[in-house]
Amino acid sequence: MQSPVIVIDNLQFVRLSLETGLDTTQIMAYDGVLIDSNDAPFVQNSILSIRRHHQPEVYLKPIFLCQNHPSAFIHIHALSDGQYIHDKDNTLVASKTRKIFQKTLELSESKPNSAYGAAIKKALDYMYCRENRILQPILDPFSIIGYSFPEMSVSFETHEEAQILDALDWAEKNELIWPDFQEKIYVCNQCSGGFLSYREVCPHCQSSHTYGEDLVHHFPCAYIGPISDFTNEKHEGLHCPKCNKGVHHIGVDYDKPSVLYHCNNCDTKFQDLYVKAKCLNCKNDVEVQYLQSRTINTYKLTSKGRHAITKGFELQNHTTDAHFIERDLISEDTFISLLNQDCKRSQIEERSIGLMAISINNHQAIAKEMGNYRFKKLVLELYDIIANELNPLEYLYLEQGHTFYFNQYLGIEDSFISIQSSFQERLNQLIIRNHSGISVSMNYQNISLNECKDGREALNKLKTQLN
Amino acid sequence: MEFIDEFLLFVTSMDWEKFSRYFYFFVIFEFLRFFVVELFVLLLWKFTHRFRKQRWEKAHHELWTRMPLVSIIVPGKNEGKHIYKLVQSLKEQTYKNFELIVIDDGSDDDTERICRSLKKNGMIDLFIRNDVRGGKASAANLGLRFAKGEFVVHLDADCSYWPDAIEKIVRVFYFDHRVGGVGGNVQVRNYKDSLVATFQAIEYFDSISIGRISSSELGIYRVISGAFGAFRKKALDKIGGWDIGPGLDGDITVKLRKIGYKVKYEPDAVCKTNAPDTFKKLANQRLRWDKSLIRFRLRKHFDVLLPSKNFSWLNFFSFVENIVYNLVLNFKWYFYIIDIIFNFTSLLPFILLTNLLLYTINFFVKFILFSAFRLNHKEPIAYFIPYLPGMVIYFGYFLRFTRTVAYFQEIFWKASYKDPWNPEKSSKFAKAMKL
Repeated sequence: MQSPVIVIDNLQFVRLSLETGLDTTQIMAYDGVLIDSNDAPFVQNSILSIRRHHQPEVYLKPIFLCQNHPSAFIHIHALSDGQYIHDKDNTLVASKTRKIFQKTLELSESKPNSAYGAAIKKALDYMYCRENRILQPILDPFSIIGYSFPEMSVSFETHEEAQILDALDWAEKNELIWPDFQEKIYVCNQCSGGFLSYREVCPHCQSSHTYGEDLVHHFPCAYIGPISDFTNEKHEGLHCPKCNKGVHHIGVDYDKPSVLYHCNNCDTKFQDLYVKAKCLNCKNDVEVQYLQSRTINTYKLTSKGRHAITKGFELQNHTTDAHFIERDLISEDTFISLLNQDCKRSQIEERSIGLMAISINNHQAIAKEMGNYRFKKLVLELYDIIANELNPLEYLYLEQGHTFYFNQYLGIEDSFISIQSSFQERLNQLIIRNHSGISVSMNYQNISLNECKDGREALNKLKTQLN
Repeated sequence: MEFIDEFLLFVTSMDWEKFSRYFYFFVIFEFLRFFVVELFVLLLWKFTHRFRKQRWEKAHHELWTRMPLVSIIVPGKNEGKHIYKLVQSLKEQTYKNFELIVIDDGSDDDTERICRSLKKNGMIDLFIRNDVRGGKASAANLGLRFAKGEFVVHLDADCSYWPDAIEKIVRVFYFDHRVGGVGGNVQVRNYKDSLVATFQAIEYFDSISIGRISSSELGIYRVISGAFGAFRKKALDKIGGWDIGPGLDGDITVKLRKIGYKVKYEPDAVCKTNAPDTFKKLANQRLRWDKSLIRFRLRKHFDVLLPSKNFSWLNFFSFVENIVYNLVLNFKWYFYIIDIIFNFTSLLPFILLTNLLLYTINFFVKFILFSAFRLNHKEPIAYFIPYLPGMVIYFGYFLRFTRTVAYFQEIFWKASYKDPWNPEKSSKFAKAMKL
């Protein structure tokens, strides 16, 4: 049995094989890892275990492969640092390992306070320590969107791959990484699945059991009909059923002005086939205009990104939806604290302050129809509309992604009615402009804070009213 | 003053013999045919109406009992702007069991977008677009190919229809089961827009509407208007639908008659259309219409005048009447003028003035008298009275001259085959095959 420790140019490497197995806690003690096995699953698991580790001393460790693994696992090469097959590789391995080690010393020790923040920081750290390596998407049949970013994917499950795109979008908006366009993809609006079966279907019954026929126009007699009208057993080629003459030369005595489809399921005829996409993951069957479009980029670190990695940066509010991050959403606790102050103010100053709620009644139906992604965009647009109506003393709280609460100064009824009508008008415009065909049902409620002893009570009262 | 005295002397000194010599054209051809005969037929029609009432009620009952599917075909190019109004007009129909088939014949405006939207909203049952224009006949035939109804109603997209128009026009098929086609009562909607539109409204009142009542009664009704016509589907299938135009309305009527179907006019089925609002547009329209008399009556369907196993005296009479009154008399009028000029040179001003008065009086009397037979007109009769003197010029000179030009163009140059109304690719075949 070979020794598990190998010294190369005064650097100590641990050799992992099927015999030694993998103990990630021990890896910290070495300068690098050599994986000596031709067993692809073992190699794959070893690399993923190291790269998934939460401690930078483990997940940034240089990994070299002692055997060739031709495309056995697409992530193997992306997550390893090279090969160590011959002694002549010593210099290269040692040099790479030292460079990585030097870079790790420059990293900031700041720890993001969310799982997504940690994933972004981990990927950026990895890119930085590998000479500003470019984050490359790989076609991946095991990823739900069909692409994976190995450096990011280690922090996510395969079905969470779409969230990687959200996280990368956030990092891009914060100028930590710079995108370079590779591909635009369309994914399911429910589960973000990228494996879609496109089908042409009948616009009436949605069945794909259809067939199309060319329409043939016979110039001399003005007959038009499906091409099957022009074929019969008596004559070879095309023969006009009206004037009983042969139809010979397209463009001369006939043409094909269009195509007509027939549905075998509902027996209707139409020309405008609908294209629908069935998600192979969640079985959602959706019209293609409702599919969610995502961009697949390669990414490289920006100077701001490098600065953030070395000097530390605050990763806040890492929700799964990068769009919401920009809106400075406040939590329920914060909202209640602010309401408490308003309650006191209304009692001491005898000011009339209201608490309003606007809720989307049919949010589940809309989300199902539009898909989660587009629904969130709709909510964001509504959020912006309400936020624009508020003055600096008023604040907005979004609950469960479909109910807005906000305080309102001045005469309650008057201002509430005006904001309600203004909001409804703008909502109607929004629907017509951006979401035609979608029916949005809103529920408007309000109470006076003067009647409540604190913010919690006021919010609960309003929630009861809403229900 | 001297001229007036001489004119009065000319009128008062005229005996019957001289009168018939000077004004035989008016007396024989205009007065007898278009006044006396029509009045007689109208009186007969009015008188016998009560006897047909029970039959009409039976037809009405049968229609509503059977509730046949009616296929409404609307072929057209660049008609998108009219389609929504048409659909609304059809939604108000008392007879609801119809399918609406719209054929877009290669429009290059937003017709396709509008129609697809209406189709998506269930306001059109079948919309078929041909990317390449094939002509009105082919578009109508395409609609016919996919029509499922027992009856087919052909409409123009720019027309609107009275709420009971479909019911009234289809009812005729149950009144007489030998009827293969029915023409609707087309009226001018924009009669106040221009002088030429007003003249046409009067023309539609008299020569078209009233004239068609009498020709329908006589069994010689010739043209089922493309703006509003209904057909028995099996009859259309039998004749292979429409042939290449222009003039396909008259052509299909003849084709129906030739295979033994009756063709009727239904004044109660009312359709409103916009008439050409300038003399130039009207002249173009009439040149197209008038050419079809030569093309279809004298060329394509000349066999109607010849003995054959399908010979019909009614069809023969219809053709002869059409040819005599529209073609022969049109040229005869010029001979009449020459005759007067050469034989009564000194009396020419008096004869022309008397002719003008006779025609004007004839128009007034006819217009007012025939009002009793005029059905379903909402327009005030008084509105048109000031325009009646102008009708002499409109009928006697403008339309006559247009007709003459059309006949010459068609007889000598077969101009209808060059009419851009129909695509060249079809017209050249029609010409070669004498269609």
